[in-house]
Amino acid sequence: MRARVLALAAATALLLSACSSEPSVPDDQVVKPASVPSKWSTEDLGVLSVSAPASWDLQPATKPAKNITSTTWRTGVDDDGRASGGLEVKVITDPQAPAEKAAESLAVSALATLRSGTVDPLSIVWPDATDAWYLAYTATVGLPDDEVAYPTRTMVLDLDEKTQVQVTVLTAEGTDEKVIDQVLTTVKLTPAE
Amino acid sequence: MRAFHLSRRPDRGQGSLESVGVVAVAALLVAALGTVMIQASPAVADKAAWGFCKVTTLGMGDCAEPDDLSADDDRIPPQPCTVSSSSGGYDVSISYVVTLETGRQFVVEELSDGTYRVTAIGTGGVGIGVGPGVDLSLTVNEDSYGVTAIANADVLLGYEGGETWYADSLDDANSILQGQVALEVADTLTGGSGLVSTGKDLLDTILGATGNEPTSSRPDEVFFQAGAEANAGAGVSAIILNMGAKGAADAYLGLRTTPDGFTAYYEAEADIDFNLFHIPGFGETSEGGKASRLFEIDYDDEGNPTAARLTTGSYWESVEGDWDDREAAQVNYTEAVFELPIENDQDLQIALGTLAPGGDQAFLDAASSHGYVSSNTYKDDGLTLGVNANGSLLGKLGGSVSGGNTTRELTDASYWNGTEMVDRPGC
Repeated sequence: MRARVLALAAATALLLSACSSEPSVPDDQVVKPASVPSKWSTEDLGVLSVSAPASWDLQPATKPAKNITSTTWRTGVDDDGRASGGLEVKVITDPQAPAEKAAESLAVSALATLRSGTVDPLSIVWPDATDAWYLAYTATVGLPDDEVAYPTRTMVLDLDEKTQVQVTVLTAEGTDEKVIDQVLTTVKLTPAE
Repeated sequence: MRAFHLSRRPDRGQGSLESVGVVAVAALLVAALGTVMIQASPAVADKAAWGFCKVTTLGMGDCAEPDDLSADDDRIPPQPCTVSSSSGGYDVSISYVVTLETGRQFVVEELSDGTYRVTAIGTGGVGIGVGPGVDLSLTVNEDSYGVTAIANADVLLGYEGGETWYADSLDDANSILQGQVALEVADTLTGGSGLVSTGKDLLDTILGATGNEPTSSRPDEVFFQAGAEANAGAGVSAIILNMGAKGAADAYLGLRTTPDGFTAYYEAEADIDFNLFHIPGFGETSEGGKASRLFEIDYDDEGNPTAARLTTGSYWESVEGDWDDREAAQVNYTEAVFELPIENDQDLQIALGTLAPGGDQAFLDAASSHGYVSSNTYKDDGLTLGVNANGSLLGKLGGSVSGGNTTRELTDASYWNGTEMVDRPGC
């Protein structure tokens, strides 16, 4: 009898596991979840948490549109108020386009406004995301005689049909560029209950 | 076939301007746009300013003619002008619109070079947020007037991911249209979303008449809307320049891919001082405002900028006979286009500077000096104002126009030949 119960429990656990399983993150994926480095600060933004170096300044959240909440971190701000790097997290409710289309639009937008050249969004796997895309490009900002290049990474994550997260990290060329992908690895989605 | 032959709405002209003297007032509105821009530069009397003045005041402005003009016959803008346009679902000569039950629209237009353009419009419809909206509304003697400055509506009809095909003949355009409509209907059927009988009838009619199977044709152009959710520049500027900073990224409207490269669209703002309108009823303390204009940069397939265009437009109204007779009212739309080929760094600097406050005068000067300047006037259906604003205007002016009935017919086209504005051949 006990063996039957154990077998049934094992089978149930297996079924439940199968129901809740999601594709695992490929080993060779360009960016993968990782543990938070020491001396970094973690911020809980509701549907996700993200970490950044403690020296990065967290700015007050803003709403660039009714359905968007934007949270920004900035670092290396000079006398003109220009930052040398930072992070922006957009939490979008009822997005106008799913992650794939949003990533495509962001790519052409980068090409048009940031002189990035052609950007090819990569489909990635991210825990608790129904769809995930990754963009890597170098943004050029300023007029030709005063331009600065910023290696930039963006992740577009759909949590469900109602919620999308866009995470953008950049740093000025010549600074520690490893940090931009490192920040992305700390993104942790909070699945809806 | 209902989708091809919707009847004209009985409330044609509703929401139009009514009062006596409105032509003069509307002309002043148009003139004011030109006045503001020209006054931004001390070089009012040079030929560039003169050309711009002639265009934007429709010949009614006090434009000082300079002495040292030299003629140049090779200044006809390279792009064909649109000779007719319609939107809304009824036949107008050879331009027409198919509106599906899904809300998706297909616009077919004849261009002046004899080719045809088929544009698929997203289900969001025409003029949501972007497009030929009304940027200013004025109230004079209890009558309201709208001034638009974002023009070139046809380009932005593809909002929410519009697609455009070009065809050499009407038959080819129809073939593209039929294939796309059939695909659209087939997708709807496959999706099981409860297609109504009209759509089925349409599909049957199309397939029965042509024998075409649903086919896919790669569009020649695709329009990507920017918006706050898809604007990479806004996100980057939020980090680098902090929120609230205004720059080119914030003005970015979207991008259109073409076989030769792509075109980026920006909204350029101009300061408007209502006192310059000199309209009775506007006191010296009236407030200023902003007007938007459409700014475009063409890039080749390697991302190198090749040309830039600045477009501004205005609605005005004329009538024959009694002003109280709305049916006789005619809404006109005039747009002025300034194009500068980008051939060196100096041209590029001038083009990019247009997005900065006060930077447009150098662009107008350069376009008049070694680029292209053109002006097109269209006779619009009386419903155009309401439809183009699609809520924006209605919210400000009131009215009950809804749906999508628009026709536009080119009545006058001219270009700057280096000396004066002359009739543009072929338009």
